[in-house]
Amino acid sequence: MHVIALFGIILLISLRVVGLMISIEFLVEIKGFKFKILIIGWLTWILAGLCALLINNSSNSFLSNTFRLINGISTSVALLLIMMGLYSYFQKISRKLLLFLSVIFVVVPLIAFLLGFLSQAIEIANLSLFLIVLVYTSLPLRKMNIFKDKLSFKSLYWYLMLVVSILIFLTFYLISIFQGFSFGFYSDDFSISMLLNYLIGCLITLVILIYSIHLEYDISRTQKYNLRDKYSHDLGNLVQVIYSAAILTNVEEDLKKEKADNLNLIQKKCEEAAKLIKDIKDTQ
Amino acid sequence: MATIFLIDDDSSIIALFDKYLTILGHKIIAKAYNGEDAIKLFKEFRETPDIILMDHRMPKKDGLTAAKEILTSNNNIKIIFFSADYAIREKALALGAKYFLEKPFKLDKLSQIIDKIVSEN
Repeated sequence: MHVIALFGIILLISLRVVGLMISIEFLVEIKGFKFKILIIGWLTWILAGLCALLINNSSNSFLSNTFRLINGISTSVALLLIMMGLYSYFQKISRKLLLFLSVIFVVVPLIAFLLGFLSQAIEIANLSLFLIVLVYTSLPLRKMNIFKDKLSFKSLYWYLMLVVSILIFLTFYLISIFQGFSFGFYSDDFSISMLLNYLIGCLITLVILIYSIHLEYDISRTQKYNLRDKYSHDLGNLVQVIYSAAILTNVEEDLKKEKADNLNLIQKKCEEAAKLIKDIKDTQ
Repeated sequence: MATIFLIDDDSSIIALFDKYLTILGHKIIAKAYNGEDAIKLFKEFRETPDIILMDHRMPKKDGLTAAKEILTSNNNIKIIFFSADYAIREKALALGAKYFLEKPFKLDKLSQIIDKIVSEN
């Protein structure tokens, strides 16, 4: 394996490990099904990288082909899980659909491989990968209002970066396949395609990482602001009622000094509460 | 004296404002607890109220939507918005609301504004 391919794969695995660690951190801190999907996705993608390292290091052609197949299958399953995990920020994803697609992505190429159609098995895995990446990259385009209402300009910017980099990668990959480079990315000979493959691959992984952090940051911030608005609104209503009731009681009745003092105290404290609510609202 | 239409989803606030404004000599001609009912009632009025006191966060239709529809049918109506959402202040005023009061506010502030509108009329 050429040194560029070797370092390219090691770099990709390292980035995927970072992605895995970030998802684990989010799961521990925030909990949520999407982080479990992302963790399995990053783990599967790391497995794909490890298999890629072993493809040309095995003298046994069956083993080499098996690693190649596992690499193809695990890459498509990993991207299915990661893309669906990221899409779950926009829409609730169906667990059944996720499971069904994962099984299909594993079983179909595996059957093709067992029947002796190795290149077809890899092509099926690649085709699944392209389809899932295209579908789940373009789906958020239908949910642009979510970027406006719940997320931020930064998330939109990184999403568009992801779309552009994935389109570049798919175009490049298709051209490479037509030129017979589908297995050339692991060969001993240097080629520009090999260099581009790992460069764009690292770029996409990096964009996915940054995008996922922005998504979580934006959602957490939106939830925090919504809670702040809700509580300050509800508290404002409560204080308004207490304040108005205290004023009205003072206006309506000829109270003894002690009771009037108590009502004045309630009014004074309501004014202080009103100021506190205003401070909460102004908190960024 | 002004005729007033009270709109808020909080029945305690409606009851207290009703009491307070009646003591001051104003007449509460109707009350609504959501935006949809407010629009419906407004369209049924034989005599338009001088002032509408309107909250924003309400079920069915919010204050801004209700105010927009009411102002479309009568753009002379004086609406005083009162809400705990200060963020909607600009929207409410741009829509044509006369004043905006941020909850919680002092009741004498409300009476001052009503007096001002009455004297302008």
